[in-house]
Amino acid sequence: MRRILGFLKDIRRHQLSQRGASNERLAEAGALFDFMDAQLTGVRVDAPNTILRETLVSADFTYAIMEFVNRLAIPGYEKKNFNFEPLIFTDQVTNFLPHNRYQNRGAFDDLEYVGSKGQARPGSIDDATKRVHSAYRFEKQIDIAYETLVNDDLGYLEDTIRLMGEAARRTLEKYVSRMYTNATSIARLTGLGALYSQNGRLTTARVSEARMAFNQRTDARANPINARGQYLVVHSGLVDTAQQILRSTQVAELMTNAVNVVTFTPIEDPYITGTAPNLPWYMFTDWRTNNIRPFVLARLQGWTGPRVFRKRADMEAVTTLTGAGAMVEPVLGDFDTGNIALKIVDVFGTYIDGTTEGNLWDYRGAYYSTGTAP
Amino acid sequence: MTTEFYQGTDWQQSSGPHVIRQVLENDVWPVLDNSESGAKDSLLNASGAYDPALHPVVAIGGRTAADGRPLNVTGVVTDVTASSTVAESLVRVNIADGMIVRNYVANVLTYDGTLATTFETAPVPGQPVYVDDSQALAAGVTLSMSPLNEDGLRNPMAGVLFYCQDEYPSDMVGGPNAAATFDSSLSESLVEQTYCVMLLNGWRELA
Repeated sequence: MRRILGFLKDIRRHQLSQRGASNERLAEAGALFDFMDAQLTGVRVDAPNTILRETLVSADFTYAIMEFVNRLAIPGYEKKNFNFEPLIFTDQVTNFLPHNRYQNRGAFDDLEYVGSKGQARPGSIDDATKRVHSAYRFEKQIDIAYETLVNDDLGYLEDTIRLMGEAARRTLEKYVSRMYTNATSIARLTGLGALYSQNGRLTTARVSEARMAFNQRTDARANPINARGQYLVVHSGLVDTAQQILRSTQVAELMTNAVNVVTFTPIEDPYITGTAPNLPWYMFTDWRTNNIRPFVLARLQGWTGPRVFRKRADMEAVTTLTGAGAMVEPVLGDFDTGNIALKIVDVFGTYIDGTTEGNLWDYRGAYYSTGTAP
Repeated sequence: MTTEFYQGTDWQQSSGPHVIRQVLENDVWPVLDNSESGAKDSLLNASGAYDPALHPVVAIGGRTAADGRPLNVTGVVTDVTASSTVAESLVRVNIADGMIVRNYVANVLTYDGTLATTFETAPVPGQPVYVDDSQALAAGVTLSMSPLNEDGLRNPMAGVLFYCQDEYPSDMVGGPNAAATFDSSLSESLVEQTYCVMLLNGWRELA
């Protein structure tokens, strides 16, 4: 029986070790098996003439093996990322006040024929297009009771900081996604007509239509501009479709062996809503190559990402009423309540026009399809 | 018809303030048998332990006019230390003015006997809500918009309807809400749904 118990102990320790259990938990499991072993041999700390500390019955052994020892927090779900960085131009702002940006979106006039001794007519220069954006503070806080942290022997709450960081990233991803999925931005693109929007579901031909629409873009003076559709942003239900279009050597929906010439970089946006088969998709330019910035993300200078703060314990440990006190560990929390307070802060913003442009800093860099037409 | 007090992780809609005071279970109402129906939800679960998810808004004190109603202090239950004698369980209540909590609120305006007869169909932020022990309310609902209970006794004011965090328009800063989403349209019948309530001990202040 003792050999069996020895095997069980080794197996259990191995199991826990495989799961990455801490040394404390391994020791805890070992101690419990040692206790059972001691009960079998009669050699134990609580031998006769010692004080009885605890009475264990058979049900306690089951509890020890099945419940007490066998506790382990496992990692949570893996979160899906939205890699939006290529879509947005990050503009640093120096404070929370509106920041103005000006861009010449026109061109100088074409030259005209002038006869002998004729005078050239004057040209003109367009007013600058003004865009204003600001950064805003986004926060979330949580307070945790001292008792809760002490009771958390699994370290379940140790993950809180990472989860807060994930939440900040997710908030920003949703923020960027809303720049083009909000109703005003969509209305702006659909109002501009066929060179900026359509209703077709995602196919090779329609991606080509979008690319050719970009290819026909003009500046404020109707002069052709270099506006290549680079990024195809799709609903999560269109990821395979986008890959098939990208990798096909021929146009899949045609029977004529037409060569597939479309190229793009697919980006999955898990926050685009839609119900299959009516799934929307978007195409955007690469602002790095042509200065057409469809979206701007305003970032406060010196604030490049989220930061987590903990409220310092507002008390000190003392041994005398008037003597010097010692700092206490932050886990002791607040003097009044024993709460440990955490806060995550991030600062960002964008160009916002609630009536016309939506969040389109430059609509010439965007294309939208409702994805409803078969 | 909820049979359980409001529960969930979103019951706190503001970070504070916190003024937490401890009372006996027997002194908060409407809870369990301390109500007109005598069958409100309990702060303890079936095995006698505190169900840490439950956060009803309650009144502290007696339910009769002789005991001082409606000048009772009101607040939201934060947690409970359960006792084997339920009535002696220790209930901690946040009585701070200005705390915003999410809770079930019935749209009752008046009663005829035990029957709820008129109802609010267009609640607005700032509208007073009361701790109401009338039996027309479901077992999990402690708040209504009626200043009087089914016996014609004045209900203690618990606070006012207020916006939840996600009910403000936020599109002006790039947020998801293009307009306020406060639910201001209800049917002409008993509706018990969640609202955010800014706690204010109104009657106490007026006394």
